[in-house]
Amino acid sequence: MTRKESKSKKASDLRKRAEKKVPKSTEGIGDMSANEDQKLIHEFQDQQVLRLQESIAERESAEEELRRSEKWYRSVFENAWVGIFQSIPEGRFIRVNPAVAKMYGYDSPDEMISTITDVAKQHYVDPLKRDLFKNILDEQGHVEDFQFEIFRKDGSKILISVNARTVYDDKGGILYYEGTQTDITEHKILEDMIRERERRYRHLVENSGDIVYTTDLRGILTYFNPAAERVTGYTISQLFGKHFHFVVRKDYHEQLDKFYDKQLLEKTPTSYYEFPIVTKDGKEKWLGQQVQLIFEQEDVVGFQATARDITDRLKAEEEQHRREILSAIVETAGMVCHELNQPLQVISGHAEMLSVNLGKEHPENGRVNIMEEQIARIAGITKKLMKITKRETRPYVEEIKIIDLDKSAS
Amino acid sequence: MEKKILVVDDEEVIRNMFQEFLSKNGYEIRLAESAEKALDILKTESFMVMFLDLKLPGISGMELCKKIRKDNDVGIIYAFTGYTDLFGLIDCRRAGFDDFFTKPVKLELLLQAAQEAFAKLERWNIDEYDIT
Repeated sequence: MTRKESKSKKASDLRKRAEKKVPKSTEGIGDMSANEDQKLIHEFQDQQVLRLQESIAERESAEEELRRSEKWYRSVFENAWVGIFQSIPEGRFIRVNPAVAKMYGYDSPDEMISTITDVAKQHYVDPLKRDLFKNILDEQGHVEDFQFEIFRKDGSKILISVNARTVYDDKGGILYYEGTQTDITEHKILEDMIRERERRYRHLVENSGDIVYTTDLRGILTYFNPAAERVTGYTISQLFGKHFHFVVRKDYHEQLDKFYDKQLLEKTPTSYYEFPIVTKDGKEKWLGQQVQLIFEQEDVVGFQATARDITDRLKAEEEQHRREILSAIVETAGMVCHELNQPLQVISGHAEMLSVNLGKEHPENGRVNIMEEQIARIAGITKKLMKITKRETRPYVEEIKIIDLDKSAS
Repeated sequence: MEKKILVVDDEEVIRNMFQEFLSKNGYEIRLAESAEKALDILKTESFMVMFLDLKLPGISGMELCKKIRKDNDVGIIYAFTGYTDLFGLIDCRRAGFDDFFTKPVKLELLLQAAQEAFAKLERWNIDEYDIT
C-alpha cells in the first residue's frame, strides 16, 4: 500500500466510526442526559476533526502528485536535447530550455532571456524570416519545419528548424508562441552533400561517352543515358520499353542470352562481353559491355550495364594485327633471302667458273647452263621475297593458303 | 697502281671463291672474315677497292664502311648482301658505299665492277697524290 493509499484509508475509517455514533435526526435529544449531550458533542467534534484531517491528507496527496508531475516536466524541459521555447511576438523569449540557450551560444537560459530583446535583429541572418514566421503563426496558429539561419552569440551561423504553435488568451489575443527547435546545420550539410553527389553522378551518367542502361530481368530497357541515343541512332521513345536485343545483331541474340542467363544463374556480380549492334541507319558497331546484377536484398531484380563503342578500337587492333602479320612475313622473307642467297651465291659462282673452265663448246656445258638457269629462277624468287609489302594469299591444297608472291611483292 | 682488293665476308667458301675468281683475273686479293679483322689489315695496308658483305658478325658492313670513309674518301667500296630493300640502298649510300650487289651476284658482274673501279681510279690519277 502506498503512503497516499494508507492516508486515505485512515481518513475513511475515522469517518465511518463517527457516522455510526451521530444520530441521523435531532429527535430524542431532549430526553438525553447532559452527559450524553456532552459525549455526543465531543464525538461530533471528533468526526469534524477526522473529516478535516482526511481533507488535508487528500490535498497533500494531490499537491505531492502535482509536485512530482512538475518535477518530471521540468526534468524533461531542462534535459531535452531539442530546444523548447516560449517567445512573444515582439521578439523576446520568455522561457527557453538549456538546449535553446546552447544552440544560440549562451551560457544559460537566463542569460539568453535577459540579453535578447529583439530576436530578429539580434540573431536572424534574414530578419524578414521572423515576419514570415509570425505571419504563418498568426494566420494558421501553427508552423512545422520552419527553417531559418541564425547568428549564434559568437557570430557563427547555424540552420534551425522550428515547430511551433500560437497560445491565445481567453479573448483570442496572442499570449505567446511556444514550440521546439532543432539545429539542423549538419543534417542540412549532409543533405546538400548527398544531393550534390547525386547531381554529380547524374551529370556523369548523363554526359558519359559510354552507354549506361538498366534492364529488368526479362532484358527490357528501363533506363538509358543519352549516349545510347548517340551510339545507336535511336531516340528515347524508340528504345524505351524495348528488349535490349532490339539493337543487337541477330546472330548474337542466342549467345548473349546464354551468357547473361549464366551470369544470372551463378549470380556473377560483373561480366564483360563484346558483341555487334546494328544502328538505326544500318551500320554495324561493336560494343564492349560490362554488366552488373542489380540486387534488392538478396534477390536479383535486373541488370545494369555500361557499354562502350569499341568499333574503332577493334579496327585499330585489326589493323595492328594485320601489320604484325605483314611484319612477320617481311622478316621471315628477309631471313629466307639471306639464308638462301648465301649458298646460292656459292653455287652460282662455282657454276659460272665451271662454265668458263669447261669452255662454251664443251658437251657438259649444257648442264651448267641448266644449273645457272635454275639458280637464276631461285634468285628471282628471293628477289620477289625482298619486295613483299603486303599480304596477299592464294589457295594451295584444300584449306591451306600460301602467300601469293607476285601479288604480295607488287 | 697496285690492283689490290680487300674482300670481307664471314663465309669462308664465298671469300675463297671471290679470291679464286678475282686472282685469276689479275687482282691481288686480301681476305677478312670480320670488320674487326678488316680494320686491323687497314692499319698496315691501303686498299682503293673493297668488297664488303653487309651482314657480318660484330661490327656490321655498314659501320665498317663508315669507319673506312673517315680516312679514305676516294677509295671505291662495294657492298654485297643476301637481303636488302630500298631503305638498304639508301643506307648504303649514306654509309659511303659506291654501289651494292644483291647475292647471288654473277662473278662477271663483280669483275666488271672491279675493272670499272680501277679504271676510275686511273682516270682520277690518284697515283699522283699521296693518298693510297
